[in-house]
Amino acid sequence: MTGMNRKFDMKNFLEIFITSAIVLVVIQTLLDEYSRFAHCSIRSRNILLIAGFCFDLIFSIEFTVRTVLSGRKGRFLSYIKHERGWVDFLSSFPILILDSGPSFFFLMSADAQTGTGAIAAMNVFKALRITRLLRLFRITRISGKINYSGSKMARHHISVITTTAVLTIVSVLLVFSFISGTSAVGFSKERSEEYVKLTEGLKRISDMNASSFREISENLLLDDKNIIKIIYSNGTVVEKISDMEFKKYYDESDYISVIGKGCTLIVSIADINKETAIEHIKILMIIIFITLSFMILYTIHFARNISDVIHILNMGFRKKDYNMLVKIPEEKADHEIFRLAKFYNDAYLPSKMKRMDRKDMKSGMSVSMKDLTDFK
Amino acid sequence: MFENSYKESDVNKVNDFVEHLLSSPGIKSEHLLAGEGIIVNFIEQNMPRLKVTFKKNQFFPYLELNQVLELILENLYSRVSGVVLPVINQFVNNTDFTFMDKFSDIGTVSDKFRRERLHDFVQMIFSNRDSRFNMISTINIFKYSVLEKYMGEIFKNRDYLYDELTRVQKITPDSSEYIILLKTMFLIRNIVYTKLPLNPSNPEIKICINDIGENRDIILSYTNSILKYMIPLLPGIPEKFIRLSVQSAFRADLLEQDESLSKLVFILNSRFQNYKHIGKTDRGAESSDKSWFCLAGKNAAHFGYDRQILDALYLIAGDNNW
Repeated sequence: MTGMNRKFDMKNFLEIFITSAIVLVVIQTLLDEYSRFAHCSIRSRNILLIAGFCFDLIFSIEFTVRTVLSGRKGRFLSYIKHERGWVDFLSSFPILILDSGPSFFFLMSADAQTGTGAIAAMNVFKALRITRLLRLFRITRISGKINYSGSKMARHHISVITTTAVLTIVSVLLVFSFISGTSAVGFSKERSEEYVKLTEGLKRISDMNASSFREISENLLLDDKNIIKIIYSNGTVVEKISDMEFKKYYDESDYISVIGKGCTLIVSIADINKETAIEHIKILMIIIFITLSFMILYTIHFARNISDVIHILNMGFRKKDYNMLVKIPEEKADHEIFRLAKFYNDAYLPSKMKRMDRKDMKSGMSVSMKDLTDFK
Repeated sequence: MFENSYKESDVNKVNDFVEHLLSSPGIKSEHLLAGEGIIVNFIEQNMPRLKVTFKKNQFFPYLELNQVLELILENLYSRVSGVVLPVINQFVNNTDFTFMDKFSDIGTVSDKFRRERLHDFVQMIFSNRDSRFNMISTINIFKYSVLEKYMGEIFKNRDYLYDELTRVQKITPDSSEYIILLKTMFLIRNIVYTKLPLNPSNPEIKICINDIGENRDIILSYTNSILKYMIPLLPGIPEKFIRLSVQSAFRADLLEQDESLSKLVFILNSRFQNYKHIGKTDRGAESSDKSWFCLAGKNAAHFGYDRQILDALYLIAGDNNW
């Protein structure tokens, strides 16, 4: 195998590797949201968190390598501007530094206390995860294989329009989440306030009846589906689920501690997370389907109306024995490209046919002395 | 067989050399017959340089130029005949030509005899280089079952072209007989490229179609002469068919109105002369035959094609995505 072939194979391998990573990161992002929706075990969610970190690391390394290589060739700006290096950047380092990196760090260091606060603060950056989907434009190169459109121009334009669409959706979502905060945070706060009020009410009732707080409140609180644990002021703890089960299914993002009158309540917000997850899944699916639509439907449209026509014109202009007419749909006959095709069909090809006839295709010009002297 | 005897090593080296030439970029995509034509033209155009080149060690230092050329041409011929003749022989040896007796003035001829004479005729014109080079179209038409496809559609649709071929031409065999007739015409018409002694009073002078220009009277005289020459060669092939075959080598505007069969053969011959078989048409392009018939229609006057026949063929090609 020659050096060129090795280089080519390595390049191909890396392209396939990155494309596979993009497909996998989309699946990982969906599974991550699904794990919250289905309230999967902490272990499963941690595996997905680690996977997300690995993907972000891979993409950050890829961006760094591309930056260095293009920089060496003096093409860094071209990479950033024309080859959508800016998308590579947005979908790598910011998520790694602000979201998956810190989450992975806290998970590894098992610093629950610090982690809890930090992770809560990081919730706002979770929205950044969606920028991973910006990378979907890169898999438009697969669309060439799906639609048999090997056209470089088609791939370029499809990736531009895909990036534009996905970026628009992602930008709007990010702006909204930074301005108004995430819905999960708002609902959790509301829930916390509700339970504070509830404990205050119960405390007043127990005081009025001169009964113990626990006697008045326990049955009511235990009947509440969100309350997982009641820690009374005197230190008594009443649990609805075992400690083992609690540790298996609940982390700091799944519950809130409500410090009320007479007790502290551990209240589940898994249902809020579920609602948020379904919202996120919807958004992800919208982005994925928009990308797929561009990749499949718009690519077909683009190929039929632009790149196929140009391919035929190009072949006809360049190859002496290529004389295929361009198909011109009646309803699009006034489009500029089909007007050009009409000129090609009606004037250029007939004239070429005459020219080739005069040239005598069977002259000895098809073979040269070089062809002959190459003989060994 | 060679007139001179050559060493096996020389014959093998020539074989490798011809193989090398046939695989050169300008030739490898061409039909083998076209490849032979290109190489022969090249040799004719570069004779002085080749004389020097072939003396180099890497070529044939121990052979004279005429010996090298003899070996090259013989090698090319054996390759071409090995590919082309079986296709034609298969048709000639296995076809029932008895329907031709219906159109003949000389009565019934043994079909075996007719086939043998046609077979000999094909070998004769094939051994002539000029005729052979012009047989690419015939080979393509045989190889890709062009007549089977088009005649099937013409007889199915029964429109303009059917009417022209049967009623106007006054030849009414069925579709399969028409295919045999047309194939026979494609074989016969190649005689016009062979230089023949058509003037009995001066047998030294040999002429072919390229020598006669486009004068109607001369064409008529040439056609009659060639007919006289060929009738004894092809007993059992009606004179009418031989005449139509010869006329199919001329532009439509040089023929009479009612010679549609010749005009059709002229068009199909042009279509399949530089034909490249395409497995799958490029997306967004019209099919290969449809494109060609359309372009030929725009250039009908220039190339001498019958416009109405082209239009009919264009519609058939379009309907069938050919």
